[in-house]
Amino acid sequence: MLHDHGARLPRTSTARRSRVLSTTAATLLSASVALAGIASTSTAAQASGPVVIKLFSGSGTVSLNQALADGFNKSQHAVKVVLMTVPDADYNTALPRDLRTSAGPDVFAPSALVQEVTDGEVLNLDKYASRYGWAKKFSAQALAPGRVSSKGVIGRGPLYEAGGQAGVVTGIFYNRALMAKLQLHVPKTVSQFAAELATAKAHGVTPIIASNEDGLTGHLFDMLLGDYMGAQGIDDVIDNVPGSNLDNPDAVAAANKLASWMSSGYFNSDANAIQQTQSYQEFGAGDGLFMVSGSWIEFGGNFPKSFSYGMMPFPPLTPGGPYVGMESNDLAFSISAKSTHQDQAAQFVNWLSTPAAARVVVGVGGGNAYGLARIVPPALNQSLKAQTENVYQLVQRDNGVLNWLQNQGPIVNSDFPPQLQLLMAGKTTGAAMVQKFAADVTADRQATA
Amino acid sequence: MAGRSRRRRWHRYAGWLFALPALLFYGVFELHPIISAVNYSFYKWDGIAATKKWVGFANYVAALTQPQQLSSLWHAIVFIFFFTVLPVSFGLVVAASLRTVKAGAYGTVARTLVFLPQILPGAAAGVAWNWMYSKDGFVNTVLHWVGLGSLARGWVGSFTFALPAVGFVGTWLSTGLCSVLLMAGVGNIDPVLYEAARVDGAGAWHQFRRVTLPGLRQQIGVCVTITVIAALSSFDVVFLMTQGGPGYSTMVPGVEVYNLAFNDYQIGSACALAVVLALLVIAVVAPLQRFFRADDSEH
Repeated sequence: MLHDHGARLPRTSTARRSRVLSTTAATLLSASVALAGIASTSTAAQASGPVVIKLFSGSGTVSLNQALADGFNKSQHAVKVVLMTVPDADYNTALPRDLRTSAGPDVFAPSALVQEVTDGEVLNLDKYASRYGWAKKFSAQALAPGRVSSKGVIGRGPLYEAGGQAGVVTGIFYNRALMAKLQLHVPKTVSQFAAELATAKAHGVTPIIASNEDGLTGHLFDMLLGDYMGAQGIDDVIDNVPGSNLDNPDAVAAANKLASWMSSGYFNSDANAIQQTQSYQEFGAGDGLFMVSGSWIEFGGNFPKSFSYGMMPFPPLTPGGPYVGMESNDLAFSISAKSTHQDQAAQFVNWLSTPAAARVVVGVGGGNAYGLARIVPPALNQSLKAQTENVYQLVQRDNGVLNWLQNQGPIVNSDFPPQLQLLMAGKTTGAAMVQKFAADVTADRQATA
Repeated sequence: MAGRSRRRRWHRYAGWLFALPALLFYGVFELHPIISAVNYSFYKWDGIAATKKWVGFANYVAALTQPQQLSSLWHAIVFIFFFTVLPVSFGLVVAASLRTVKAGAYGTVARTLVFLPQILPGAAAGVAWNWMYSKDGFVNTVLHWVGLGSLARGWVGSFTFALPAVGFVGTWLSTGLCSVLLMAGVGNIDPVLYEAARVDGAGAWHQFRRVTLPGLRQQIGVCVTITVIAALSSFDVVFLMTQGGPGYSTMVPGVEVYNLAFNDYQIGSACALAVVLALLVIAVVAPLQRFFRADDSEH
């Protein structure tokens, strides 16, 4: 640890001096006492510095994590959070390796929580949950994603990930000019949304801009799964709850709906050939009406300043049904089992559960679940920021928070892009895709059992 | 006597002593990883857990029977056409064409232009070609210019054209190396042979077939060996351009090994596929080496 080097070196030096001085004549005793006194004062001064804890961060979230570290560091002076940054592409591969050593991060956002818990790399936070009263502060549903049972089921067992509730949310982004030109409104159901896609297509406007080289039509698939299976249903599958299985009629219906939109030509023709950044360029150039994505697209100047776009929630299956959407929690973190400063790391995690931390997230453009904005019916004439916060809270209000299906396990994450590309090209069916995901997960579990 | 014997013994071992640092490096950075990979290939292991599960040859059976892994091996073989056959053919044409202009400024410029792609990293070439293949990229722009706009498409997103599109980048990268090697070889062929052929009435084609081609056998052998290895173990261009997609249409063993190891955390399966790939490279390259060596001895 950084601060250890600073504290340990003077201590060694003091001990050596003491041994030498103890063998000298009595006449030098007073000098030795004086030296020891000076040295110990110096040691104490260095040891009184802040304890440094390392926060693991991907390069894409540096601004957010640095803002969180700065916010915490300003709130107290005993602990200092510094960033340990790796490129986003290396996050999933570097984290497991770094967690194996005490030189690794103290605090981190898990890349595969169940795997990391199973491998003994994550600290059980139950002790801190009772110390800081997290169970009283948050609902059981809010803490559930951080619990992992001994059988690898998320939502049950000890707490391994905790923090506040604030982050990004997925929904439908729309081109304001095209929306007005086509005289469209906020769709109240999936059927209405489908009708708007058809209207756009009929007017020669590409209905949805998506990137599928990276499998990001998966955002739309995930929300359709949430509508057809219900948030709890799909989350049970992702959390590996015994008895749950993706291969069911509702999931097939969701996949078939997506396949029908793909075969109807509702997506940009080059979807399979482009990645997220290129889809921003096409949407920002006004090439399409909708983009189904998350509020992270609002960060970092992805669109020309002249481009005006808004956000609305993904519609429910039936009128008045619950809104669903994926929400990441930018304030949920774990503590390394190898951390030598677990108490200080927990202090930081506890700070993340405060409104001050949520305000930091809001400050860099994310949604929030702290009721900073009043929930209103979705409308096209609100500001983008108000719409984003509203979508976040609508999904929270309706208990419609979804996890990404890719988080069910690495094997699904790998299957996602190629299977969605095959679906886009009409080379597989919705049913076959769902069966492939389910079969691979089953095979993977059997192999590791 | 005893002194001379000691000196002889010292001379015998002195060479090994000088080679020791290199041998140590070879052992630590070459042999150890290879042996470890072979060892891991018999286990089910996520690369992190302290315990590994012995699975025997199961990972090898998967590598040779799972459609996805099997198709990646097939794509690597298809890449030999793009990385080897086309570049060597183009290289021969370029070498034969530039034989007469090997000296002077024009020859230097020509050689530099032909070799230029070779100095670019594969990753950079992959990114650049991805732009050129995009909907509004150079390739589609040219098609529109020449009135073939109906053929324009997102090339790397097409199940039909993605593999040739990525393979052509390999052709573009390898042609420079093959051309320069073959041009150097042409320079070593005795001009008297061409003159004698001309006197005997041989035209350009016969000169190429009877003089240039036999004279370049050694260089062709080097080109083929290098480019076949590049084709079978391709990674950077594919990873940067398609990551194996769309679907699995451009998946190659190099990318599949990466996915298995670092996305799926299946170190055993990744190592098994890597070992199969290494054996495939040896199986393809060894006969080629023997073929070109045999030709050398005949000439």
